[in-house]
Amino acid sequence: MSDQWNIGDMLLGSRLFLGTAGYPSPDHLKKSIEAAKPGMITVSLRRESVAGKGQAFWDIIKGFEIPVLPNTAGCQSVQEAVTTAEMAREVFDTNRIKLEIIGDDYTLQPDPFGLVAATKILVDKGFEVYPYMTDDLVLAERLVDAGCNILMPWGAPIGSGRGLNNIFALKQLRVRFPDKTLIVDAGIGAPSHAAAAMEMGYDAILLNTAVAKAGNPPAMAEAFADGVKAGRKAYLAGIIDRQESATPSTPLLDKPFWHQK
Amino acid sequence: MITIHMNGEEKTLESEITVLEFLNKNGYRNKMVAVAVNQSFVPRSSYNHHTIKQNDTIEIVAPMQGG
Repeated sequence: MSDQWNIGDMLLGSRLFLGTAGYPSPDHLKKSIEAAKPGMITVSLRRESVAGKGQAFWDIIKGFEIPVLPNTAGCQSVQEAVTTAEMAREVFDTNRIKLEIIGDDYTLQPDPFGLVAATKILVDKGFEVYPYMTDDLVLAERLVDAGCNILMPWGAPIGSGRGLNNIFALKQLRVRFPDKTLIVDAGIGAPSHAAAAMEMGYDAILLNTAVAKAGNPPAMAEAFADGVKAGRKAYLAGIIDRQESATPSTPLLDKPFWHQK
Repeated sequence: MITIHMNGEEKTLESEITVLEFLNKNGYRNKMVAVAVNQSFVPRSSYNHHTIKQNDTIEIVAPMQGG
């Protein structure tokens, strides 16, 4: 089943977005991308030495011809995030930006006030903002008001592998924003977490650590690709409603020994 | 002589120079980098007329792994 989909002005063939950080080696990264066949790859900007480490990394990534989503990871102020986004647009030649503004160093919880302020500035400057956000409904509304067509609530804190901490809130976002692109970003640990989010009707999953730190990153990348596809297929197929009582799946009509006691 | 900070390290320059001259002198010619001076983005189109001054803080960044 082909499930091509649109995000922004792009047609993507996968609903799995894969991060590129923390792999045991560049070869693990390459093989994981090959196995996941992600719709998008996340990248960042860091201080560049004359030795040119950044160019070596970019040579690996550009060979895949997969759209990149630059982030503003580590930024703690609106000014830092806006400037980083502007630098990313020039380096990566894209107006997409995964907007991260960290509000708490321990949980890496996004700063909701900074997110809204930075989103307004970046949208005015022509960016397509992918905000890394909590699952707060009012924050989502403010971000949409600021011009976001895409929302990326966390499943759990970055790198925690805890999965979907607040299923109720995530479901509420899906119900309240049926026309926005919703992507669970961060906290995913197992393919079943990704599948669960897709079964809720989320449009895509963004993850990094769960693959990069797995025992076998390429194999885990493939498992996540399968999990995302399974969850999407289940959502489209229509999952049955939960019931409070049992219902026999085998028909009782004409059962042998019926009422013979 | 002027003192500046580049990527967190103090550097001394003989005089004020443009961003373009600075990048060329420091090995970044034709490298895939972006520049901010004093936390403000400096686009490529401004490299040859944006001047680096005393106490400026320059960030030079390139693609890197990210999640």
